[in-house]
Amino acid sequence: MRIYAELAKTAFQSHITFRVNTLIQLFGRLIAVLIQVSIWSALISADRGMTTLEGVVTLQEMITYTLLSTAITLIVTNNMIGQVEQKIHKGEIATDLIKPISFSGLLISESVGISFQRIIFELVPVVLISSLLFGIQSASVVHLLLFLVMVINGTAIYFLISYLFALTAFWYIVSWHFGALFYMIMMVFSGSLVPVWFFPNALSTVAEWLPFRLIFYSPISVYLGKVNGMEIIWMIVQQLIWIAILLLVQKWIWSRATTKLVVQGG
Amino acid sequence: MVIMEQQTIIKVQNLHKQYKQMIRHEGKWGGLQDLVNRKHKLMTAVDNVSFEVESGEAVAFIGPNGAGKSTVIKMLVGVLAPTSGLVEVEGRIPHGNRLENAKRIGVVFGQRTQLFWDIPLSESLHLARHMYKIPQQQFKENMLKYSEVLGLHEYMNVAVRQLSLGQRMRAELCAALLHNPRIVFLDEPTIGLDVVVKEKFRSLIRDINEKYHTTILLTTHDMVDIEQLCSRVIVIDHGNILFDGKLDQLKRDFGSEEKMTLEMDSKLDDFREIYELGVKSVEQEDRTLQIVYDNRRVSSSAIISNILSSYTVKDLIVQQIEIEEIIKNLYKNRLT
Repeated sequence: MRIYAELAKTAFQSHITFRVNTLIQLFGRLIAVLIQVSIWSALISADRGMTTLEGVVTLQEMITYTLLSTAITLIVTNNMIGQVEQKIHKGEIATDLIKPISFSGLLISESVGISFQRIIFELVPVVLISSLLFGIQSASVVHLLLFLVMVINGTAIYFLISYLFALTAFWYIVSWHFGALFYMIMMVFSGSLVPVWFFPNALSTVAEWLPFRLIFYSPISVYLGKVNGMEIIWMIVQQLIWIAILLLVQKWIWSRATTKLVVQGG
Repeated sequence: MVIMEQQTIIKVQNLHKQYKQMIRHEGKWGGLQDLVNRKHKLMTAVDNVSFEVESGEAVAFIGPNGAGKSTVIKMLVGVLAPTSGLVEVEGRIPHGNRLENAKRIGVVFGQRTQLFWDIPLSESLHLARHMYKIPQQQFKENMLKYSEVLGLHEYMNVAVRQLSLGQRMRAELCAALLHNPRIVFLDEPTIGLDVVVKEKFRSLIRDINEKYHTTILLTTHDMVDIEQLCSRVIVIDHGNILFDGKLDQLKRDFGSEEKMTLEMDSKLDDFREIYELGVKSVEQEDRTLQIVYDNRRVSSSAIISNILSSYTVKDLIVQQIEIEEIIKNLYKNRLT
């Protein structure tokens, strides 16, 4: 286990080397938050809020939603599909596989390391600055803790799905289109940009059957106090079921991927 | 498992590796044709290869580019799965027991890096300690020893991506040896290195082979690597083993040809005397004389003394046959 902690530390360190990169990314995030907040402010009346299927949503809730969604993006997302594609495309995979560490473990460690770097250098400043500018709604301790647990589960779900997409590179060498497809589906159905409250009926049924909303929409609804006790437990159970299914699929795909592997470039 | 000396450590039987290769259509519309009508060719990289290696042996794999050497190595280290046939390393199937196998072997791929690109070398080597669970004491000793021999101190704090090829390759070798592997696989480790670095490589590899009886498997195009490191040679081409035996025997049977180049003071008028010695060919261009001969039939000293008896020689080089020539000879021999 020690080695995986060390690998995460290494990924963390190699990412803080590039300071200009970090600064520019931080700036980009702030702009994105500003744009989203401006849109919601134009759409939602400050005193009456907006009526949805799930009841009235206030502007303050929507701003909080935007901030939390940005925070979750910084914690859960990774560039694994691109990374694995590069490893396969250039044949670097050979030097990963001669190491006595699991390939998925290596990828997890790297993305955890990068997440920590982003939490410290992007998430904290973005959330601080934007809550000073726009204000953020507070939550009860119980809701906050449940939110954190659900974000951790969501990270596992996101990791496993992107890992499965990343493994397609073992067959197709090039896999960025799978990455783009995954990212677009995820962005819509997770509620990371627009909450599922605003979805038309058909779309919200689709979202219901996909795992993505469990990464963004569900934890944020819990934070905002939009769902009650039993519903929260059901959401967490769903997260665990998805994790279990994805773990099994991942194991099966990995064993097939390694026999498919062709090392590029001799 | 206790490994005793002279025990079979690597076993390969009827090994095959095939893979599909896409054939691209040529011409302006080739890309579009590829989309609709895709053609694949089944390539055979390794075709029915069998051999065994005893623990403590040093074996060189030689063969032209694309012969299948690296593919065999990649199956031995567990990176690739065989299409059919058996591969066993210390009684384990590498591809099925990749992690267990990886702990006990050291690997250097001459054209790739296993170090971590963006962090200082010292930290990259430190990761190896955790990766292979190397005891503190052993790590310290090996670090001291290898960084001394390979001269790594000067750039321990430099990020790996900033190292020169020679520096990086020395570090790669160190990383591959820190955990005292039972077997070391070296896939063209000396490619692109200068003579001094090559020498360091060779003496270190010879050292671990002699002192610790570490089994060495090496692929190379450099005859000197083989001569200095390996007693046994396996020649492979088109995925087949053409020869498996002692280096001396290979050279005696297929590599006895030598080429002598002489810088003369004056031109030779006729070569009759030299031909009478039994040489294969004599060519003269200006004052440079090239003589090709079989060293089993005539010795270089006999030729030199013959020439010196009537002419003055300014300079002289005797070249041994190249690996490519040996392989050509092996083929000729097979066909006849």
